[in-house]
Amino acid sequence: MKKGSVELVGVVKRYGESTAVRNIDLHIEGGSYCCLLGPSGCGKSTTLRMIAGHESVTEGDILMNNRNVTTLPPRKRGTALMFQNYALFPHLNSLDNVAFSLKIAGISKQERHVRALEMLKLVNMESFFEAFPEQLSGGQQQRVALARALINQPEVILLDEPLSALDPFLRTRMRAELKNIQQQLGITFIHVTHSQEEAFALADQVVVMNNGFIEQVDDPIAIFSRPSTGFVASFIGGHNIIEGTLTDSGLSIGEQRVIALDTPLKSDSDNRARVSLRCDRIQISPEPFDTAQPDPLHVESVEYQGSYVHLRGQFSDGLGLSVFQSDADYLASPLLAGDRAFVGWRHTDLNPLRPGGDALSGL
Amino acid sequence: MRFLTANPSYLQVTPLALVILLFLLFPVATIVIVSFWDYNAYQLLPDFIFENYEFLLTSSVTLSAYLKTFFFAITTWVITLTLGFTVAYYLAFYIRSPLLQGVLFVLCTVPFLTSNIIRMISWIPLLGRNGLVNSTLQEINLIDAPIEWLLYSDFAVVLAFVHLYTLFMVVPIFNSMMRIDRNLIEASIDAGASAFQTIFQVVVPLCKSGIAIGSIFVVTLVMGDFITVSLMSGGLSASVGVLIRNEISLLQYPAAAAGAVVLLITVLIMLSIMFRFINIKKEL
Repeated sequence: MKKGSVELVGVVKRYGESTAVRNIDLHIEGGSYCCLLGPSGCGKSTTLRMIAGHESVTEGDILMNNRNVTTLPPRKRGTALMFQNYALFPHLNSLDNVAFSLKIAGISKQERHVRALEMLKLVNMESFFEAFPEQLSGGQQQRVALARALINQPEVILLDEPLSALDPFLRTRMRAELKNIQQQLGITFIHVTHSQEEAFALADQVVVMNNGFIEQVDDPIAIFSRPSTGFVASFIGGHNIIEGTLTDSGLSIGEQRVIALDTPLKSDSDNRARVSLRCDRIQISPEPFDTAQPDPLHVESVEYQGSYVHLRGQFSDGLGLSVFQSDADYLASPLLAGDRAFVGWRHTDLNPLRPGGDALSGL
Repeated sequence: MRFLTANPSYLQVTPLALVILLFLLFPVATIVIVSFWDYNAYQLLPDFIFENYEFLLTSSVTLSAYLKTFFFAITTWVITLTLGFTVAYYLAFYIRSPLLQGVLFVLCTVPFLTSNIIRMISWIPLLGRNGLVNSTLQEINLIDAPIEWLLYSDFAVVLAFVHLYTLFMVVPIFNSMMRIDRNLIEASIDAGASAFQTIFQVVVPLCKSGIAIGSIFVVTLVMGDFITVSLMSGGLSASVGVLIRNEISLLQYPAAAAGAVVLLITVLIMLSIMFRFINIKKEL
């Protein structure tokens, strides 16, 4: 087993009456990049803080390298936490910030400065070693914080929304650097984020959380192509969720429409079931075609997004769909709001969703 | 007039400048001038002599009064700093609910609803020869005879100072502690620091300004005090303030003025040393 594996077994966190994390089981491979993804209040930060040792575990165990660390203090776990606002010590310069834990450990000034400077070099901040945090930009502070987290050669680095305080341009750049450093050092990164874009770009393993539960654990491709619940599909975006009654011939919506299915579908007690359908997998055209639905879609809005065009529309029976049309197709025969168009998809693109679990409202 | 309309900021600082001129600079200037005057038993004689300073700076009474005053200032400073820091730390970091924090903070200020003198005098029935402390200790047979040094002693003076001035430490230190990002404490723990290491490596450096402001309050108040010293020492100890006060009661105003000028310079030197260590402006 690779160093730096983390395992959560039946972990529960309660604050008095309210439960923040409900019975989580999770295995994170050593040396992998894991993203905890979810909306605010879903328990992802609490989970991270429990792994870090800054939050006590109400029930369950946390294992690192198969060693139970549930009750150990942060420093004894071999983890390092990188805070959302970086939490650099304002009274220390970059070098002393990075060397702080060495100072605590009683290492001589000379040696700790040498080692701290090495870490600053790793994050390309060695020329700022004398600068105080307030003199650094957000991105620079982030690098110093990363160097501070790395100095003790931790097996696991925990990052609490590390990129959320940066502007979009810097965010993309720091994202690449994080991934780069992670691959260079081969340590486990556990990264909390509410941005699916960030999670997809970075993670080997994405853990989608909602309401204190884990909804799905998979690699980014699987998460996007086969979301397991309505929540996952709506949270990561770019999916239509179609709900209907399960019949012998497929999923029946309204009075007339029956959507044929390839894969068997589980339904709840009322025989209701849901599938997700990627917006970019829907073919749209002003003219009817083979796989098209028999009736046309009434286009309600058209949003140009650069590489694609986002069309929203509704059938006469009330079924609404979002369609991402590539800009090439769009420019060939532009659709306008108010137009009628035919849409269709392959049966294999319909992804069955687990019953239960509310879709995120308002998306 | 054109100058004022072009530079309205001068107009804006005028009220404050006038207040300072009238209530600070003018009195200080008067004291400095009077300190060079001559006097006899019943009147002041405008003059320019150095005898007041000469007598002051060569007298052994002055020296012992200054030593006593420094002793009071430093002892009080150390005790109020320790107490104030501890109380502020408890309020800022251990009390989670802002409501309770506010209530406890107001509780700290309750003694200030009574006057200084009342608060001091209330120690007398407690510490006196037949006071509460002595009689209780005798009752439980811990001591045979009453402890004499409880009242009218340096102990009593320092006790009263601590009682009067600890809050002046608590407030500014608490204020700067509340501004410390709680994540910094976690970052320190994450780096392996023990509670004490976190306090001395993170909390103390980050409340330096609060500590400095509290220290300025306490040191200047103790250095200039005469009432606490004369009341609580029963006239047995003399601080610089007591000397000045005695001279005033003997109508030796020029001598008292010279004493005040020297005290003012001493305190200013102490403050400038403190400002050397801490950049207050940065923190305010």
